[in-house]
Amino acid sequence: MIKISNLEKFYRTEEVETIALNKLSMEVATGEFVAIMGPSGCGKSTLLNILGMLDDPDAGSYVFNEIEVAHFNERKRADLRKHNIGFVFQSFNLIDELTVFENVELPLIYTGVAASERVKRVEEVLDKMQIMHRRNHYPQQLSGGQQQRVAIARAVVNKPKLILADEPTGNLDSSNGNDVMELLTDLNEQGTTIIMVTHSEHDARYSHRIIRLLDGQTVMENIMV
Amino acid sequence: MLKIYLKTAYRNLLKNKVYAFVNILGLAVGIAACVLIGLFVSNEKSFDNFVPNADKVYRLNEYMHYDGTAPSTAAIVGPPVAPFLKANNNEIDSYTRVFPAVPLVYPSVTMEYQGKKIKAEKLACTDTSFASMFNPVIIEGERNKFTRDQNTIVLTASLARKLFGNSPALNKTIQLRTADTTATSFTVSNVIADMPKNSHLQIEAMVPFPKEFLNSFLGTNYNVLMGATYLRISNNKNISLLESRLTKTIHTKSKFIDFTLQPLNRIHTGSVNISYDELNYKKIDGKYLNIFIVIAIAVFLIACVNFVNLTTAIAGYRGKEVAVKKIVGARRFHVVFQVLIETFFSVLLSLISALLLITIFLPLLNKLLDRELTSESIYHGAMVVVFAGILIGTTLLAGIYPAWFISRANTGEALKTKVLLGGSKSSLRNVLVTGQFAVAVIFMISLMVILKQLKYMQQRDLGYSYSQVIKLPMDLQLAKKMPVLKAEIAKVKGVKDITNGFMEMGGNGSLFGIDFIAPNGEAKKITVNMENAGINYISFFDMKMIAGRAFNKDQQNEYIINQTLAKQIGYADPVGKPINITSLPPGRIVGVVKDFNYSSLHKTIEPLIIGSMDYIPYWQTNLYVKVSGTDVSQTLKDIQKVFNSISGDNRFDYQFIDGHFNEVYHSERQAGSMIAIIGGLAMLISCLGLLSLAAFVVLRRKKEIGIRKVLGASVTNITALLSKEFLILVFIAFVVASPVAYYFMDKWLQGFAYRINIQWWVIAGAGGAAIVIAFITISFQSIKAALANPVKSLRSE
Repeated sequence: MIKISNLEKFYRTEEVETIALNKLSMEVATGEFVAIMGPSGCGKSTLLNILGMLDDPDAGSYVFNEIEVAHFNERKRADLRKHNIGFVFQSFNLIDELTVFENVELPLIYTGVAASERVKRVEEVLDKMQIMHRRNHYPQQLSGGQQQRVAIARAVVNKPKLILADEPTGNLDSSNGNDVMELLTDLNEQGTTIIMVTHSEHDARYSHRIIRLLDGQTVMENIMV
Repeated sequence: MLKIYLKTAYRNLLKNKVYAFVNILGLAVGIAACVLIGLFVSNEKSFDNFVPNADKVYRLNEYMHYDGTAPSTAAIVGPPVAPFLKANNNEIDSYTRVFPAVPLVYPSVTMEYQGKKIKAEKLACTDTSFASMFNPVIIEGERNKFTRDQNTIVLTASLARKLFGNSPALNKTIQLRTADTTATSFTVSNVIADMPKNSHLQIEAMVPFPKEFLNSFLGTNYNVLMGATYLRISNNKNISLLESRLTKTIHTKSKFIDFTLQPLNRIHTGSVNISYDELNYKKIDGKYLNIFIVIAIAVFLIACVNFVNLTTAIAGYRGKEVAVKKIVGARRFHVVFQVLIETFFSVLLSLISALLLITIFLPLLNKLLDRELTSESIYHGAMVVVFAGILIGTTLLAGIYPAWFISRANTGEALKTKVLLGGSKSSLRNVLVTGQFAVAVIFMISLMVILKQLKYMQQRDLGYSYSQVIKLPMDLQLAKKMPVLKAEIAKVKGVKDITNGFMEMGGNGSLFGIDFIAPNGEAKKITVNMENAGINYISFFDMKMIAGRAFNKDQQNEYIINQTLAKQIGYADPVGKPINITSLPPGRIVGVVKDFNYSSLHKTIEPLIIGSMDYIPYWQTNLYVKVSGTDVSQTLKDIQKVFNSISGDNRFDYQFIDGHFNEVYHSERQAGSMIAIIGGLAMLISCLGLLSLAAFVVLRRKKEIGIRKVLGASVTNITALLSKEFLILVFIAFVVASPVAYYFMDKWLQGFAYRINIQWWVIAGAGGAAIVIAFITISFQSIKAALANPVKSLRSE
């Protein structure tokens, strides 16, 4: 599904150039659940942003579903992104002004799904995440665990092929964190590819494979059994 | 899709209630001020536009250049002028004279019908051509009979109603009483609709010129200043050529006068330097109209700028929302569209609030500007288009920048920091705030200069004292009873002194020819202002004699001259020298009075001759009464009782001279009030803008402030740090604004013969005030930021 090779990304200020990704290459197959680990500043978030097409690389190639996207402009990236990728963040990133239902509905609006179809699909996914009873609440009225369920609901409502999760349990206690990991595992078992950045060895154990980064390069790969 | 935009817009408004309120109110105030001024200006510009082919109608003004007096332009001419010009110039299609009937044609007029008596205040003698020239709406009678026959009268509807109630007036006969024993019958030939409110001519009744008057000394006099004359000309291509032809024509009769043609639509706004223009209804200085237009645009722009600033500042907090939307699939145009929808929503609310403000403040504006504008005129078709224009224009103007700014944000960055900061320098916003403040500072300096000039005019020693002096206007009937009137009023308790005069203090003088022998033996004739005074005039007004003496009892043909005239005549000691007013018996100079400002301070002091000719009631038009300061209202009531018993009717009409001077400087006062109000609004809106910018900068520097506090900075340190940045902007605004303000106010002051100098501390004071106001405004944000717990701001990183 994903094949990147010799990917490079620099951050420049007037005097210093920092290498965030240094000729990084890796592949992720469809249906895989990959965890990316590494110390702060190793390039995890940069990699995730590029994989999610929120940012573009300075050099190298990024093939997504057999399409080279490294040189795509923002509009093309946005098109590809909204149909194929769902995001889950450590800090949930729900829109405070919208209700649970409206937050989950948002991606469907932007992909042009008809209103009646939207209601059906949002209800379906809220049901699955067991937060149907909270549909008319605002994010700040929910617990952290519930907020993350809403965020996952929003990430999957468009039935993306890939979910990118950035420390999805980072703001949660261990019980809620385990619930979230179970949810992701379920999704993966139903065929969704998942790439997760995490600091937690515990969470990483839910994945099939761990890629460890240091200074923008892959230093080790562990295959989980 | 639209639903969710509206929903987000609505919830965003609710979330930032205070900002939204400030934002919407600021724009509403700007729109309201702009529309109100627009209403006023368009009303003023609409004057006389109901006249058919108004561009071919001109008022004949007379440029008088007599020896002895500074030349000036008068709005009125003598009775034979128009027929004479028409007979000799075929470019003139028709002429209409509109001459006040009282006091020169008839000494005074009371209309009487079946026991009803109405004083004819606005009775004019006019020509039949009035009907075609000004096209009045004729309610009764035939158009071709309009002032055609002698002893017929045209009444306006409201005057007809006063005389005849609701019954028809046509062909009814009324009496025009011109003296106690003399009355003439007039038949109503027409009733016309009242003159439109936007007509510079306001007349209630019209009669033809009496034949005997047109053949009299006055009726055949080319030099006398009597009434307005309007010409309809066939070709308006080369007006200056026509003017010189008309001047050439009149020079065969009088070499002291030239003619200028004033377009009808410029009479209302372009007559400020024209004298003898009392009939010009509520005339206004067009210069102030232009100033008002500039002010309106400035305030509107300030409000828009403010709106952009606030919207962008609030938008800064929406980084996360926008980033999330982009991540889940929003394209840039979705975000742009959303911001525009929200802006539209806010502008719409502003517009509705503005209409509310307009309705509330229109009566105040009417009072301030002495107008009768109605809010109905803002709801007609053209204004709907204007409002739609404002709505869409402001939405685009105020929404595009924030939309562009928000939508271009880098998603990953925005998610991490939660705020959008735009360019690190945000220079556009700085320029906008500086511009706002510059305009506000210009307003402040202008206002201070205007107030100082007004105060100067009020407090300037005019060379005579008029405190506690009331003026009672006389007509000929009353003037004839002057001795008994003076004797009886003098007996009233609280009356300290009483005298009479002829000229209008603060207004135009009245020009008369005088003859004298110059020091070189040459007999000279010049034209000067004349006052016909009571015996005690000099002491009454506390004027200073610098040579000779004041008037003595029962001495006729003695004259007092002012210093300026004494200089012009040329003797080192003019006392005792012969002098006489043309066509009066010979007299001599008995004294020289120190110059006093009998006209307004717009003009320098002109030569003046003062006589005390009790035997000419015609020249006794004002009775002056000095009252003591205690129980003034009772004294006035007592004077009224005496006055009415002698005059035989109820038209006691008095004015304190102080109040009269307020009218003389009415334009300045109006402009001062307008600038004070609008300037205050501009300052207020600018401060709102500053408040938003301060909030924005605090947001941007939150982390820096936190770190500084952790490292030991005090609240004062932080406040100073944040304030400095803005005070520099305000200071730049001040530097830009002060020369501009100086230039315009210096130009404005040129309109006064007696004026203040703009002192440096006026400008420094306005600048200082702006800086202090700005500092206080910023403090709301900077102190809050300085007091905030640094742990919070650092943790969010």
